[in-house]
Amino acid sequence: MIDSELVAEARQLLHDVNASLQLITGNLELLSMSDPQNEEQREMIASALEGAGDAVRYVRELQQKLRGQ
Amino acid sequence: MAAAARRILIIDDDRRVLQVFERVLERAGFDCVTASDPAKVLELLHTEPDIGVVLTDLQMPGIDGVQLMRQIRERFVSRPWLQLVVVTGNATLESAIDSLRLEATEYLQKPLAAADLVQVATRATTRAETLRLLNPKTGAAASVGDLKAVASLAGQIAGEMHGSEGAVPALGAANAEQLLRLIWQIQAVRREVFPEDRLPTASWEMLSELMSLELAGRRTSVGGLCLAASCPVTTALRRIEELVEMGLIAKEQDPADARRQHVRLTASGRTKMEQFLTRVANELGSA
Repeated sequence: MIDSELVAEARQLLHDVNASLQLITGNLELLSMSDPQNEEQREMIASALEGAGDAVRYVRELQQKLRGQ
Repeated sequence: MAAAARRILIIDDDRRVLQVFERVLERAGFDCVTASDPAKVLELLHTEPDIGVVLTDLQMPGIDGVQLMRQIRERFVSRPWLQLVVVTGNATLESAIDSLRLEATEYLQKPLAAADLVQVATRATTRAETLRLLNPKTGAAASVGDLKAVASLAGQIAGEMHGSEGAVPALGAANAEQLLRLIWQIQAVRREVFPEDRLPTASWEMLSELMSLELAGRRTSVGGLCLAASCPVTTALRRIEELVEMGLIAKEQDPADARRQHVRLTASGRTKMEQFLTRVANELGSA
């Protein structure tokens, strides 16, 4: 069993990470919707969104594990 | 009223998140009001009676989002159409239950994709618009424009289901009596498509929820569906079994979680819901 204060702190941190991820994914999506980019820029945005998507999954996984604590 | 109902109040203590949500929603045609200070929300709602949807964060300094929603429900009893949507960075079972008790219509986890945010806002504003129109106080003052908005809305839903633009003829002169007649017609269509003795209210609520989720490209579990019915969980579970026996819905095991079962409309259930919505659109259009 992990220390309950540590769990609470971790939950707060993950909450903040989710807010940061919202900024990253939200702005990337807005960027992809705005002025037409060239192929390379589109690929870069897609790749960044893919990376952010991975981060979202990792955070969800951690939150799921912490719910059991 | 159609334009007013698309007015959304967004609350988040992080101004940068507020800006993202506002930009996404305004691009989709919504009219947004933002608040980074939850203490100012009640005053804002007081001065902006056109707001139909409140989209709020939960963890904020000074006041918790659940407390804030409770204050909104207590202070604005006369606005039962107000839709509350929760978007949180830390989803918990407790806050989800608290939110549902306060009749929050959606409970979502950040980060939220732009398309999902727009879908949620569309559903919430649609509900707000319809409830506001059907509210006895505001409904009595419903204008021809209001009724046209409902007709157009039903037409859009039917059109969406048939993959085409729903063209519903404009309504003629309308007043409160006509509005009541339309409601009776809707109830008559429901009885015709789903005979009353075979379909209790809770079952109807769950079918509507499943149709709404299907249109939004989402799915739900048995537990989630029970929450959509305004009855005890044991009754809801019984109703789900009845709907399965009637061939209107089907349960499927979640391959990722052996404890969870998903629920969906069967082809027959979807056809009946389509018939219902199309008939309602026609009734409204020909009124």
